[in-house]
Amino acid sequence: MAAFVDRGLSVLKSTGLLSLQLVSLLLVTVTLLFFLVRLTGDPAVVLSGESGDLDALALLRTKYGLDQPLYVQYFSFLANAAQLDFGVSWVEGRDAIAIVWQRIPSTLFLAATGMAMNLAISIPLGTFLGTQLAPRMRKALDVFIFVMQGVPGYVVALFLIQLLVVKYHFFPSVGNESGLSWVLPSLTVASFLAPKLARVIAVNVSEAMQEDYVVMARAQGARYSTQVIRHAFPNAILGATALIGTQVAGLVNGIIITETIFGWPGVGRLLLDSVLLLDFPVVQAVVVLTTIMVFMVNWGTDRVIEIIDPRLKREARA
Amino acid sequence: MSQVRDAAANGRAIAPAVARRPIAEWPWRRIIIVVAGVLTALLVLASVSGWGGLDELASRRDLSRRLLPPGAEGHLLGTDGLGRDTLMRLLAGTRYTFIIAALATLIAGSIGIGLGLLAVVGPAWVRALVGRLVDLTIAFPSLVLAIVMVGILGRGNLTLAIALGVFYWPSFTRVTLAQGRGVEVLQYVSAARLFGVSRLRIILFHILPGIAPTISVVTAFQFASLLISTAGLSFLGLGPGLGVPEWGSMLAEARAEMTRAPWLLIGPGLAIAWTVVLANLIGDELAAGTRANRRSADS
Repeated sequence: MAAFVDRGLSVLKSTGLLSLQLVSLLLVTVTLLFFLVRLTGDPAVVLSGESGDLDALALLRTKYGLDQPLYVQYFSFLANAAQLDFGVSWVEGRDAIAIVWQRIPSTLFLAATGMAMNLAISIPLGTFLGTQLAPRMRKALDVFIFVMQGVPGYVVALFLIQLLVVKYHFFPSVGNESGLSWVLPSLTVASFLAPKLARVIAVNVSEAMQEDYVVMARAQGARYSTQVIRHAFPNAILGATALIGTQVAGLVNGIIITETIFGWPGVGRLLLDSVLLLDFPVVQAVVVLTTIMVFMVNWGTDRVIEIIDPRLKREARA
Repeated sequence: MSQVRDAAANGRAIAPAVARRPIAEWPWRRIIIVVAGVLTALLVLASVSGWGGLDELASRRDLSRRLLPPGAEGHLLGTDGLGRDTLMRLLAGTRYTFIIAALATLIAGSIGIGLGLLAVVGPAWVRALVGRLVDLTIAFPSLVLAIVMVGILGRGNLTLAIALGVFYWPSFTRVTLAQGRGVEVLQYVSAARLFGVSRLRIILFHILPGIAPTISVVTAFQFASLLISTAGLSFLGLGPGLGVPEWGSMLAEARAEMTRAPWLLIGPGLAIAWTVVLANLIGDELAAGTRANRRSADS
């Protein structure tokens, strides 16, 4: 019973700590946003556009509370943000947060397929590079991957489009309507990540191949493929979990650019569009929601890593 | 929050492991890297100084000679949609892409190393505070906020550099903190302290030189990724401005002409890749050197 209570307390404590972290993160984000927007000058002027009619300006100021002192505006902004209320989009006239919610599924879809593609490419590739097979091909692939690490995903995307869309009409280039349109965007997201992951897996596999347990398996007459796949690989992938976690958390960066290139109707493109149109309510909603999502993903990834490799939990605590 | 991942990364030392692989086996690599580095540095110098009327050549339009393919007479890499010479634009663009990324690295490095050193010599609460700041900054979706900053504050070289620099400093802090605490307990630092050397002098002349090799490795890798982000943001239309031959904006322009002149993608694509690969190579090489030094010091 006491153990049960202890466990309950520790869960409570960690949940409390976690929400404290999230709240402080959001507080900083929201404050940053508020003052960034105020730095541009009078939001009422931006809102009214070119017209600049004095009466219209005064009307807008009263409507959005811009005639209040700055600290009053700040606290009412905070209060609204706490309820995820960022007002109405200045461009579309709809609730900003609703617009963002609508875009989230397709971004999550792209994140999932991109990450899956990343793993599907770099796990076999990295494992192969970590073995002793086909030295020449490995060397060539090594150099290729090293170069690819320097080629940003958006360049890869443009070449893919040129080759597979413009020249051979393999894929549709924009949108997410047809059945295969996810392939190129996911490949682009993966190309931001795969070279590095493949290299780390390669190093880990080649190191694991020297370890006693693989030597033992070799001595017992295990086939080479068994040595690699059954014995070396599981330990190698364990060493790559930290990088995979970091990549999952950083996915959003690659996704923004990818969505813009392919006209993918996700949060990233929404962010760019609304930044360019100075649609502040939507910008704020996007930033706050992505911050929450990235935080959750980070937390989830850490828990998954802990489950895969419980030793790390002890290390982190020490 | 990221302690677990820290532990995972520390236990298995990701960065050196990445660095150790394959390029270290290349013959002549050091010579090649030095030559390429010097060549690139010269190009940057030429571009920054506007040597030989480079800017004028880069912006000269000739609508009768638009979208020429590479190898056309007088235009080694062809011309763009306004008849401007691609090679000249790439060279002139060095001043934007390379310098913005360098500036962003400088900003990130100054913040990161400064905070790191503060945490090394400061009391425990400073260290805790810096640790919280690092966690906080890492938790931000950095590119999202950079986009918002540039979009709101207006486009410009400096804005771009600042917007990127203020989110890329944590890796500098982590390295400074980890290495600096190792150096700080060494005897020569204790000796200096006993001799009454001021705290600032100890930081600048005793600790900083000790961690400089590792910092240089991080700087090379950070520069590489900041260059990718710089060109990426201007590819998205948040660069220094329209008509400026920044490599990312050149890519965006090339994209608009993609069906008619696909070769326009090659120039800026190669320029970005060349610089990033070179920076990564230098980083690898420096890391190998640092490790070799440490090994000889250990034995």
